Amino acid sequence: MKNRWIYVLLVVAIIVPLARPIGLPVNPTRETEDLFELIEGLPAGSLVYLAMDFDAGAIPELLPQAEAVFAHALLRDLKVVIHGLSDQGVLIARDSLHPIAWSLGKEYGVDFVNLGFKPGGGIVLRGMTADLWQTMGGVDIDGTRLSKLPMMERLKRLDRKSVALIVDFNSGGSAAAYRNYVTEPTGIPLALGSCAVNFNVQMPFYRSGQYKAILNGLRGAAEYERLLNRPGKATSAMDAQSTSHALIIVLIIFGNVLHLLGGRRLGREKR
Amino acid sequence: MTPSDALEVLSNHLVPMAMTRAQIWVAAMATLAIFSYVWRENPVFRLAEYVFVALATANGVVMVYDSYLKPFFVLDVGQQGRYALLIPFAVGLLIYARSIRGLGWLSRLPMSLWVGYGAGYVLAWSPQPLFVQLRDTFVRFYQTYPDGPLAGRFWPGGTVNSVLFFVGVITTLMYFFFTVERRGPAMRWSSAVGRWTIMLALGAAFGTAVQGRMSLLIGRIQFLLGTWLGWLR
Repeated sequence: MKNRWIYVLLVVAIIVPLARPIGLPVNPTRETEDLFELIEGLPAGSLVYLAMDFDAGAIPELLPQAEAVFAHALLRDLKVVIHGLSDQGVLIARDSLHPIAWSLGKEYGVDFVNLGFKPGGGIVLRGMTADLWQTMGGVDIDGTRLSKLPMMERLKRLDRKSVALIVDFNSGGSAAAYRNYVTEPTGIPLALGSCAVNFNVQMPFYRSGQYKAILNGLRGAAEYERLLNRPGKATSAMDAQSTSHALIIVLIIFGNVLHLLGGRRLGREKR
Repeated sequence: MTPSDALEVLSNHLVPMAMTRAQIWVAAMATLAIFSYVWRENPVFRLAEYVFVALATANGVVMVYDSYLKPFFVLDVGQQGRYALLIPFAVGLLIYARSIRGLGWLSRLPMSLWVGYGAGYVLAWSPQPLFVQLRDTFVRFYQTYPDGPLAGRFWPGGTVNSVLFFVGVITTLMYFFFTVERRGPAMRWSSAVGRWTIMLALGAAFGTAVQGRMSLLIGRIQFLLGTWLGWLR
């Protein structure tokens, strides 16, 4: 079978359920429920730190997660601070999360702040645990002085007293930086919004309690939308995800059967 | 606007960011140009590829200036007067001495500082989380239901999981244990089981990799059919 026929089948398997949704059930897993319950359990006014540590390539998986968690936090009247170890992540947040906050009637500087990007990875995070203002140069993503943003008065450094929860949406190694330099030394709970590719690697840390919760790619976003009782774009993609997976399973079985038959034939020819 | 209405906004905007119609068209054309590779290598694909490389390079240059150099000189040094930071900056510049004949040895100075600092930094902060992982491998074989109506009773599923976990950890470590030759049945069997454990883990990793790639493809198709063509609700 030529590769392009497989591509055609794959596109059909995705387009058909997108155009005519099947409505396959999305049942939240324990890992997703843990994040939902964590945010539900925080008292109003608590500060949640969203780390937007992904680039444009991970938008389809991680942005729906970030949008759902951000909206949930604001609906619960929590304060949200956004930061990124990725230069693109904070810009994505400005273009996509800020409008959600405004549509909820939230005010920049009072209910949420975008600190922007500062290069340096783990060293920046260590700096933020000592003096966040100085580490970020005393300004937010747009160069506004942190002293002019009322919410920042209560966030001088990353510590357990100031921050109730860190949620790291990451497509790379930033989770290790948060673990090593922030959450383990300070005791701030850490939850992870993970790309599906990284999910297996991160699971041992959830099992050991180093992550309080973990969202698994687009599936995790859909589960979170289900918990919010508001099906969104992740949910609408779940049927297509299931049908495409089913097609790949069939193709793997088909390919292996052909391989086995071909192997036997080859064996007979050798004899 | 009520919270429910606001969440409707979250549910319905298939465009992740505020894009103009012209931007949507450019993104759609670029996507189709890249997808054309599925048919075969062609000039449209190559053009899109070159444009992407050029844009990524330009973006990198701008980001280095905007995120590294400008904040350093304008904020840290200019506004906050942290002139001492110019010393490590000057030491860092020595890395370019490698291209000057006779002064190449100077580039080893910042390199040795980076290596030394990096190694010390990692050693200072990385072991703690790893010790938690190590501690987590000490599992109880006899598991009980943690909650629900059977809380406290024997949990067969959990017990099997614990045993599998223990066997998986030990045999995987045995597979990478190269000090002793794999001659005896214990070594041979344990490393064989370890190999199977690794294969299972790789299978699971492949599964999630497929899941991730499918999500990206679905995202693009949603963009083309929904945002660009308006065919999806």
